[in-house]
Amino acid sequence: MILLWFFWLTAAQGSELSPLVNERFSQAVTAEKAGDFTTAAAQYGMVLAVAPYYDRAVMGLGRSLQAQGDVPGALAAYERLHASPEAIEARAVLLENSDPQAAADLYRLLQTLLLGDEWPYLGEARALTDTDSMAAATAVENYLDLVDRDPKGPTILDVLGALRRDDQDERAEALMVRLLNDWPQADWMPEVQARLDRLLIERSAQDFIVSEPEPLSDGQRTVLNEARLSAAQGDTERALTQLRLLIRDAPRSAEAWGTLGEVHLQLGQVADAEQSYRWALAIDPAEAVWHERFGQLLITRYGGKRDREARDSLRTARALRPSWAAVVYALAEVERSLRDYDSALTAYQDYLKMDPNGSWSSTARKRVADLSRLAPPAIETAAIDDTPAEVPEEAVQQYRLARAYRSRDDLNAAQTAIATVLDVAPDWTAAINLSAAISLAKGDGQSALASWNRSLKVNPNQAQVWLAIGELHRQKGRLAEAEAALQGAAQRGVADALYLLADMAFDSGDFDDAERILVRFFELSTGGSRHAPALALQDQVVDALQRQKMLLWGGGSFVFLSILLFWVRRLRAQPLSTLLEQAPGSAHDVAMVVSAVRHELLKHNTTLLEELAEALKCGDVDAVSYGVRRLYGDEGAQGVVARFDGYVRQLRSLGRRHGVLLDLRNKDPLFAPMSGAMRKLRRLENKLHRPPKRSASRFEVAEQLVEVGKALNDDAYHALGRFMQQLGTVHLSSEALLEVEERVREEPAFTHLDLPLLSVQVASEPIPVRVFQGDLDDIVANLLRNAYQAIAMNSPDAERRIGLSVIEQADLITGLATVELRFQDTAEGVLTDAMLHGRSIGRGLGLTVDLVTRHEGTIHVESEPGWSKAIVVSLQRVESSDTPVAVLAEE
Amino acid sequence: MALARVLVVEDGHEYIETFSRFLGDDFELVRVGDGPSCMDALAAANWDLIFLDMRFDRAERLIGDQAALEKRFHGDAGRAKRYLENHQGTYIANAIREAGYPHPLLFSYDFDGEPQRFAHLTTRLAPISYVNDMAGPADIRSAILEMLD
Repeated sequence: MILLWFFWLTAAQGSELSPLVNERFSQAVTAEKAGDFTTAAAQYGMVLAVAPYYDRAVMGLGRSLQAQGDVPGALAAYERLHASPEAIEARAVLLENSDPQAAADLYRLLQTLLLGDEWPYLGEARALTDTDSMAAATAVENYLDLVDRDPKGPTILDVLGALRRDDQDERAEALMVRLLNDWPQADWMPEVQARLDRLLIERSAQDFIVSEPEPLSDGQRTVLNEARLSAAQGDTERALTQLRLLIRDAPRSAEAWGTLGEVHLQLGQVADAEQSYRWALAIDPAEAVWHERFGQLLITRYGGKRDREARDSLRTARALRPSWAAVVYALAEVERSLRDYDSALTAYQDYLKMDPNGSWSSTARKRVADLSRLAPPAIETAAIDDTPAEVPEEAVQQYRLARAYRSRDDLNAAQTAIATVLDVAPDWTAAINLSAAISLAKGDGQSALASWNRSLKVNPNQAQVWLAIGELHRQKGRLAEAEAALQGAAQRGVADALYLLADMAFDSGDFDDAERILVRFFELSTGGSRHAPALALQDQVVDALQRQKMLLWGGGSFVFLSILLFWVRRLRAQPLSTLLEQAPGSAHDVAMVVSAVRHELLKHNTTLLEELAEALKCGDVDAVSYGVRRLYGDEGAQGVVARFDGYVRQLRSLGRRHGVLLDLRNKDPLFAPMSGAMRKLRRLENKLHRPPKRSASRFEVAEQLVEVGKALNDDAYHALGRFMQQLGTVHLSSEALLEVEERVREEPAFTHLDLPLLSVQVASEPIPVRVFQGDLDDIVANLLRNAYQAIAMNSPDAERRIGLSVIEQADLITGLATVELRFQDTAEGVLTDAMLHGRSIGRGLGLTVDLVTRHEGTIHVESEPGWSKAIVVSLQRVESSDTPVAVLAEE
Repeated sequence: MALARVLVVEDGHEYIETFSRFLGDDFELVRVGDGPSCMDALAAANWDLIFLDMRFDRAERLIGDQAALEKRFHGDAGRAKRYLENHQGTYIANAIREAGYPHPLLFSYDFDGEPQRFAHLTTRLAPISYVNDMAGPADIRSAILEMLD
């Protein structure tokens, strides 16, 4: 209506009144437009004094008086036009609350005057809803007979509520069924369906009820209380079980059903809760509490779409218990949400009377104040009318028309009107911008953009246009263009542009920029719709920056510590020789691993590398595949590279057991070159699995294989051999043997004894023997101790002698050379091989037997000419690899 | 021209697999898995060369006087067996010569570090030669051809 009025207002100018009256009329229109209704009413009155039935002036007077709260005056004004549908409608609207029947009559008059129009029937229904629900229902049905699109819901829902209130359930049901059948797609039909469901279940409940709700027995009440206690303690499942059992026992207990509904609601089981409440309502419809619970459920769990039904329920609850202030407040709230402000105001006021200091009294007072507040008079906008002087009046009128159409969402008409404006005033920026807005509303962003750009060419200092362009670009994902336009707006002081720029910076992860821009935003912003989002964005930016800093710190610290740890470990890590020095006992284990590397890995596998290289050059796919399997494994079997890593890990583990951190890959002269070669093999894996097609590339890979082969087969293999030889080789000399003897003689057990000096004879010293130095020292020392003890106890002083002779032997079949250490003494007494190996000896000799055996040696007792006996230790002689084979063979 | 016949004596299949792939065009290769089988093969056919592995820890039958070795190792049967296994190549070679077979023997063993031992064996078992542990198929081909010349 207001839009229509606006249209008439603008169209009225220039009508057929005398210039003087016309001027009065224009002044009236201007005053009304400005909200100065007193002046407007006076001016309209003066026009009507001259032209008493000038309909536009009559309507203007009515509106002006109505705006001032002068309802009787307004009615009187409208009555001048007793045959005008517009005036009749205005009177009907005014009378709906104060005299519904009169309003209904007026709507009926309109039905006659506007035969075929459906809306007067709806007005009649609205007028009669509170006073005559059946007549209202008839009006609704007439309305539905005529309406050719989705019917309007609010009035019809009110009528349905009134019918239920008046116990006209059958009529309500018929109306709801018709609505659901004929307009199932209307957006308010779910509420109709819900109301119909409720009506049906209530009817069903009526059939169920044959007597008053049965009170609970003492035992049943105990169960109910226990269930409530369980629910209060959070054991809702237990509460549910207890209540279900109770309901089985007492199915007509509304209290049990209602409590069950409450527990369901606690668990978020809304549908179950609703059904339970409905049973409670059906069993005991006179109990306000279940209506209140049901209403609250509808309000809180349906997002507002069932508020009308909730209002009905709360109204019933209030009717049943008028003193229940909380229900009155809840009713006020739901009335307000349904935009029935008069009812809401009344309810708030009622609540405040009932409970002036209640929980919601403060809010209720504010609501009363807000709802009672009158709008202030409009400001005088005529004074700031900045229509450019050069814009013709015709263009201005068309512009206003375009705005009116735009407001009514009649975009085509608006576009036509604004096109007319631009024909006459092509550089009028307000019109260009309106044209852009209309294009955008029609979904034509390109045209909108073109219009705005055109507008900026006329006047680049339009901050809001820059902002609009920026927003549009951003919506379309054109971020660079959006940023440029928003910068333009920001430069012209638009805080919103800064917010959008900050948001874009945040989205792109540039949190510093976002923070900086937000600072500028808050310097410019004094509120507005972007203020709260900007505050939220600022929190996000601060969080992000903190996270970023933490991440940087954390990452930096991690990297730093990792590097530090790496270098500490690298610096602390030692080669294999350190392990052998610090823990000579590890030699045996080291030797086993190194031997395995040499024998299992290098000997049997890497010798293929040269052939593999040849196969690669020749394109012998099968041969290459065979070699690749050996190197990299196949079907779960580990290849050379992986097994090498395993052996390295074994050695490092061995080092850790002895407290030595090993760095074999970098620091060990033996393993570092092998590790490098293995790394190269690892890098070649893909190329070997899928050999290059180009022969040049294959040759290149082959060359690398040859290079690795040399490193492993020649250099590493021989280095390992030398290492093994050094590791397990002791150069036996008389001097070394005497040093051991000296240490033994200095032991406390022997220092007080008068012992003979050891006589040592070594055939050709030094003799390389396969044994670890520590083990040999222990073997010699133990046997000397044994000999000294024996001669000390069992040898006459004059005969006491002890000797050690070292001779070389060779095995006939295997050709293996051995070294015999013959420990001779003059001690009397019996020592046999069986005693020696049967452990019927001292701990020292038992250890000696173990050590000798470990080195593949033998130990036994022999008779020795000139001596009582000799304990003979046989160890493997090591050959010197320095001697050329050919020379030795010739020898 | 008929290919030279080489009897490969090894307890596994590593050598025969590699030889078959890389030397199969040059020699007729037959593998036996232990000393007794080797002696049977020698009795059954003519061979141009015998390729001998040294260690036979996967063979079920070993050549050598186990009882004597047990005595040497003070009744330690396990150690005696291990000794036989570790040096079985020389025991087989010894058996071949004792049986009167004059075939060239090519050991797969690194005698580079044990020249005196090799010299000792040469005096008893010639003609013998060896390829060290790092010899590839090409080296082995050369060694065989050299012995067959």
